[in-house]
Amino acid sequence: MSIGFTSHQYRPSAIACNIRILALICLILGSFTEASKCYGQEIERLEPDLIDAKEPFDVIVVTEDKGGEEVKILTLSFRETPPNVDPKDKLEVVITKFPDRRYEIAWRYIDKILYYEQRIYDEAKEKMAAQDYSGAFQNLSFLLKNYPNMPNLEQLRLQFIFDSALERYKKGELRQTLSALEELRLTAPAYEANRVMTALSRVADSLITEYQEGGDLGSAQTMLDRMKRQYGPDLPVVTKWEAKLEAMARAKLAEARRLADQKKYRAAWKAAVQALGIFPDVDEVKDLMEEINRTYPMIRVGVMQRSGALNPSSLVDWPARRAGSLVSNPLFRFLETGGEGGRYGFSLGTFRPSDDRRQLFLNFDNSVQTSVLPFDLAQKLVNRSDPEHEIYDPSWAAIFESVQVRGPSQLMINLRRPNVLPHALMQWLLPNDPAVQGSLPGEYQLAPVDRKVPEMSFKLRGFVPGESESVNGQPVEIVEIFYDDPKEAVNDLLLGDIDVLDQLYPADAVRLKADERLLVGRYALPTSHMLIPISDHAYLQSPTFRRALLCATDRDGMLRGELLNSDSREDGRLISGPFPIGDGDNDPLAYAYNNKVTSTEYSPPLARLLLLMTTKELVRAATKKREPEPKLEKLLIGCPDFEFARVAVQAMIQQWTSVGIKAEMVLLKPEEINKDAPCDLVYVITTMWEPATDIERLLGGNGLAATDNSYIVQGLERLRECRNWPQIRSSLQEMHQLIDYHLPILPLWQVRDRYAISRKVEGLRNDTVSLYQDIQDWRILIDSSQPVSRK
Amino acid sequence: MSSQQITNRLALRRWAPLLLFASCIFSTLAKTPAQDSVKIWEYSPYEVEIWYAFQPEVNISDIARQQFISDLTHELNRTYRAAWRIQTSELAPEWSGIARRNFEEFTTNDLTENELTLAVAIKHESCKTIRTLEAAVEKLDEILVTESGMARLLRAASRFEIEKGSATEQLLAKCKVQEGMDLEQIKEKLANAEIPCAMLPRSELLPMLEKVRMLLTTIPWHTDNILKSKDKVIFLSIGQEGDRFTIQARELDCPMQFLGATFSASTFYWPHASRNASHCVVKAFAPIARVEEADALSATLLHRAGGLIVRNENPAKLKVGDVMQPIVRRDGKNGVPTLLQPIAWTFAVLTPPVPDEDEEKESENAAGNATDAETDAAEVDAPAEATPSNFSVATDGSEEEPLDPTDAGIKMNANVYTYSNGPGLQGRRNRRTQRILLRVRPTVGETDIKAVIRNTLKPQAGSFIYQRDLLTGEFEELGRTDWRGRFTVKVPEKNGKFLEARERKRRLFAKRDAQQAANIAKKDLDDVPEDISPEDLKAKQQAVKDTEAALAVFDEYDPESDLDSIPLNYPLIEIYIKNGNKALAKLPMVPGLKPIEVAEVADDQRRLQAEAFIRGFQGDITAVIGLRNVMAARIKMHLTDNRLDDATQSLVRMREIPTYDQLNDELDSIQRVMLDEKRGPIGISQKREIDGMFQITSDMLQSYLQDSLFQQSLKAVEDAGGDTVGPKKRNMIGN
Repeated sequence: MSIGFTSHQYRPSAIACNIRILALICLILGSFTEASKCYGQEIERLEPDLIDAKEPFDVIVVTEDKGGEEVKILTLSFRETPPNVDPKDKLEVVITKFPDRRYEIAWRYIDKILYYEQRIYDEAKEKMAAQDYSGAFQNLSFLLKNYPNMPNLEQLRLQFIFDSALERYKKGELRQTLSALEELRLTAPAYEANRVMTALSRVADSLITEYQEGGDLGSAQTMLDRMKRQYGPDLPVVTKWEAKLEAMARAKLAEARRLADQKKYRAAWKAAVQALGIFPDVDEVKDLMEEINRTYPMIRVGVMQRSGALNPSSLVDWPARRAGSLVSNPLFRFLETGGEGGRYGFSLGTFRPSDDRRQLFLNFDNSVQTSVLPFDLAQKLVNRSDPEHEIYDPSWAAIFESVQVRGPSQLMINLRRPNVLPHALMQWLLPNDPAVQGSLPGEYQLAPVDRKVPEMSFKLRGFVPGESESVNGQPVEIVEIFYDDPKEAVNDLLLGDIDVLDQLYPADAVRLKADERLLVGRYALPTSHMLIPISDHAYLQSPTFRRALLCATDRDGMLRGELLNSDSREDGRLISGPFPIGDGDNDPLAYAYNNKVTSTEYSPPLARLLLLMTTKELVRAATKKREPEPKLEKLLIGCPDFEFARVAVQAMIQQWTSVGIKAEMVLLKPEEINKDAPCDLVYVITTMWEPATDIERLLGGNGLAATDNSYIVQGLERLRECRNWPQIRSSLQEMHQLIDYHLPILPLWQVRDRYAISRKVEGLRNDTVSLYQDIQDWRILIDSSQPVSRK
Repeated sequence: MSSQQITNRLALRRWAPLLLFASCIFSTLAKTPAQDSVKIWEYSPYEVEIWYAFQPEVNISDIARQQFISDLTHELNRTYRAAWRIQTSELAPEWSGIARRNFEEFTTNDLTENELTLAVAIKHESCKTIRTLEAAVEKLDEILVTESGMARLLRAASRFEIEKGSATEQLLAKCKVQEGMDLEQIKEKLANAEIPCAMLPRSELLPMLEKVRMLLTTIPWHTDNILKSKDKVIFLSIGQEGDRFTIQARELDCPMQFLGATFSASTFYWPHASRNASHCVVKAFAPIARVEEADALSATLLHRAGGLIVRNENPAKLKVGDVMQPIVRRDGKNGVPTLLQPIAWTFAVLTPPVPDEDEEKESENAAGNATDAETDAAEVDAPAEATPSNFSVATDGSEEEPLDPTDAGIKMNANVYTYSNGPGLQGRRNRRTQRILLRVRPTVGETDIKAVIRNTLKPQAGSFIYQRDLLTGEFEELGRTDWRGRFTVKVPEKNGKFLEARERKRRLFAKRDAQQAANIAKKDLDDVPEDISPEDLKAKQQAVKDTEAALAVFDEYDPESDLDSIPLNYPLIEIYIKNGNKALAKLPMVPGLKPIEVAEVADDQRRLQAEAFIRGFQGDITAVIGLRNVMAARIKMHLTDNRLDDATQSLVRMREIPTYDQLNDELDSIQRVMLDEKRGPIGISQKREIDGMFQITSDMLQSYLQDSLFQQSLKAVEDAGGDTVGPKKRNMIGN
């Protein structure tokens, strides 16, 4: 007779079920992640002696009269002692010490057989009794894995979960406890139903209390919702907290109403939103919000970049351009791209170039309310061309010849030579001086700024709460709220705390698109991101070193990976120059882009080599001048306080470090992004939508990237002399090549930003170039069937 | 007797000894016309005419005005002593309007344009041989003049004593007014040669120069006469603004017809006005020197009236470190200047005398006589040829401060600074060509350099401006020209220093010699034979050390402690205009001398454009060369480590690097674009330079990329059993 081991046969469903349970147990034991990934290894490592044996073994306890000895034998083929065995019969066994021999033992000498799994089971129970849940878990997991059909095993598992959950609760690990109890309730609803539900309610109560005490009423509300949905409204925690939250919400509502009565609508709205967040089912809150909307329509805009200066024409300051268009109008404003350059609007009326492009006629519209008269403007134009004047603008002076006032409503500007886009150079803010006070104000004005709060408020000009009335829901106040964390911004948008979010990551955009309450759009034009050297760092003066920086930067990987997490060319593309590449060859925006100039490839070996070459160049030059050898000082990269830029800069720093270039990030306030910023390079997001003139604004004498490179300077001169579009295109494309050769700026990528806006706000054009471009058309739908705020 | 006459008499008594001395000299010199025309430059005082004009608003009595003029004359005589012979007179009425309206900017043309000038009809038979005023008054019977013109002539003549029988008297006698004939009719008749001659305003004659010949009308009140007979005219305007008296002075250098800048002063106290005016005149006055000899870097100058100055503080004295601006005058056969022009971007700086052996001997002889000369000016009889050239005589009667013999000079040496390839002060020398230098008088706080392209006068925008230190030769970048081609150079807070030209040259040669010696010693040491004796080796090593030490002296140069350096008295600087890698111009200048200086530079746009592309392309080539070598080395390393897969991968990367052919094609394409005449014509020299740059780049390609580096790597991988069939497509790196 031979005794052999039979292998266990597992059913797939059983395995899946057990794995889930094991994962849960792992979670309970506080090693959720690691254990769930590699529980097998962990178990093997943690198994105590019994379950750590090389081979399972049973134990035969010999009767007392034969010595009462315990003999380890290889596991028997049966796992339960057969009833009615003949004591004279013999049991054939293999003693573990002598695996090559077979022994026989008469049943009458066997006191009892201790089966391997039963011993593990018993040990687990002992450990549970001793509150050694970690040890018990090992046993239990072993049994579930190897002896899933063992009787009473499931009962032991449930007991383990319940007991260990209670133990966790005692330790204050509420989330884990609740999770365990809910799992228990889900997988074994009949098991100690009352006790489990009571425990579950108590744990949930503690957890909600914790949320409430921590001020996170949103999470409290979410949890309460779930409890109610899953376990019914009669659950004690639900009844208790519904009453409590409703009371709190009503208190907030009362506060909101009081504030509204005091005409503190912004605070009232905030309180109402908070009331909704606490308990959304108080209908009066929604009524109050509609009332506020009617009386004092207001839009809260989440922004990812805080506004500093307010300049609607800024080339390198996205937030200044955004918020600036609320408070002032430039003389000329870029509206959209056209077949030949951009389309512009003249804030004071209409304009027309002469056929030979030597003159520009400005016709004043008398219906435009402004204090700017033709003579005032003519004087400004002259002052801009006067090298001695404080507002001297070399780019303008280079094309301006003279100006004539041709009556009360027309100016004729004479140009030195034909120019196709003189008005693009006139995107100026008229300063508030006595001659032109309040010259071209925007729809809104900046309210006093409280530096402690990350908010800026813009109020509709001429609107006095309680005295004026909003026109058809036109927002009387725009509140910009700065978000450091995009996730938080998205969350607030979903919660209804904000109505608009000005910049979105592609992944967030996809997620928000699915929300019916929101409209997700894409700005008509992309932004171009680049690094601009601004210091006299010895190495940065060398184009070879600047090339090394580019070679050391895995721009493609960064853009598609950590920055956008998107492969779509519409979301972002690498660029080899400062100009936008647009959406393709047919995109009129791309008129300056030279497609023959491809992006510098990522090549760390080449970067190292170029770094070495730079060092040699500099040492040679220093030796020649009898100066000390320059050292490669740590580069300081100025970065706007914007998640996207921060991530990009941090990634670049890591990559540069790997080739031997040390760098450090310096966060800059928007107003600090200028030539005097305390850094060597600055990360800049430009709105280069009119390359023909914007390149001068970037690289020219007054530009952030003003360069002393003769070749670029001469290229700009050639551009100024262009008389028609073919010449401009050709000149810009040459400029692109030169910029790639000499790298006065380090081009990175272009990004098409998206925004999300609540459907209760109307008027934002689908193809807007900047958020507030048509702010005068924005309206809040007061009687919309859509909920004003969150569901 | 008027108060003016009384004052003049008093002044005469006071200055009698000096005038006596001066008259001794000049009466001798004025003996004959021939002698009169041959003035002894270094012993002739400046003939200075002060033309003053009290503006109508000046509320001062006649007596006070006369006192002002008297005090001014006295003050100036006391200041300049023998170096000046001064005359004062009121500005002629016809010019007082100009002085009032446009004192700071009027030109000699403004003065002369309304002057009645004698002109003859070129085609008129009787005028064909007439070239001078004397000939005209002798040969012509009558000279037509308008009625108003006649009145002006008579009015002006009444202010002068007309010498009998003089050309002026004859001219006045022949001037006739023809009834009913106005200016236009006379012009028409003269142009048609219906009349032989007429006296008409110069501005009316200038457009008719094809038909009429203007004659030098040297009548006493005429500018031509003043310019011929005087050295300097100082225009002095006395005005009043409220309670404040304003003084303005401008100098006209007569031989050079060069009008200087305006110098102003003001006072609330009238008795101080004459002293203020004197200060203005002193500031406006520019002492002059004449070029005697010149080479490219230096010149010998003769100091006008230098023999009459002994005091260092005499404003007419030229001193070491003074900066002089040259003007060239070329006369026609009749003595009429055909060229009067400051030599652009050229200056001379006076240096200490460096006596040659003969001069040293002369100096020694003269030194014994100097004391006597200083003590009694009247005893000095100083013919030019007998006077030591580097030593002046004490003819201004000074007893206040002895002349510094090393700083004194009639004959002076100077460094010459001129533009790139400029002639400096060299040039044809003859009786009709003079090169005169005036001491500079900066008046404004900054000067705009306006760079324009030669011939087109198009602004040269974006060029870089450097300043080169005259002493150390080091460059400093100042900035770049704006869209107008302008760059503002501010007057430096401190004037620099410089080295005398010969000393600078000596040091350059010495440095070159030291460098050569160091190179030779080093080469000697490198080439030593193996069997050299230890002593010889040690000697060679010592030679290297010694020569390097000698060279280090130049490297450790400290300009502050250079005893040979000479401080400049005026802010002369050397400006370089650079376009890309090419210096377009070297321009010595004195900031503050003029508000704007125009620099014409060669058109360099196409060359710079080509350079921009070539330099960029060369950067790409360098990257390609480097990357190829890195890849080849990696392949070798991988094969050594038996990492065939890695070697194959590196080979694939190496295959993607552009080849010689690809880069050469791209270079050709750039060259075609850069030399495309459709983009505008390219000058011959520009084309030559562009071709040179392309040739260098092409050579670079051939030298570094036309090799078998890839083939060697490929074979190495193949030999090791690697898969060498990879993608054939090649992309440009960084392009």
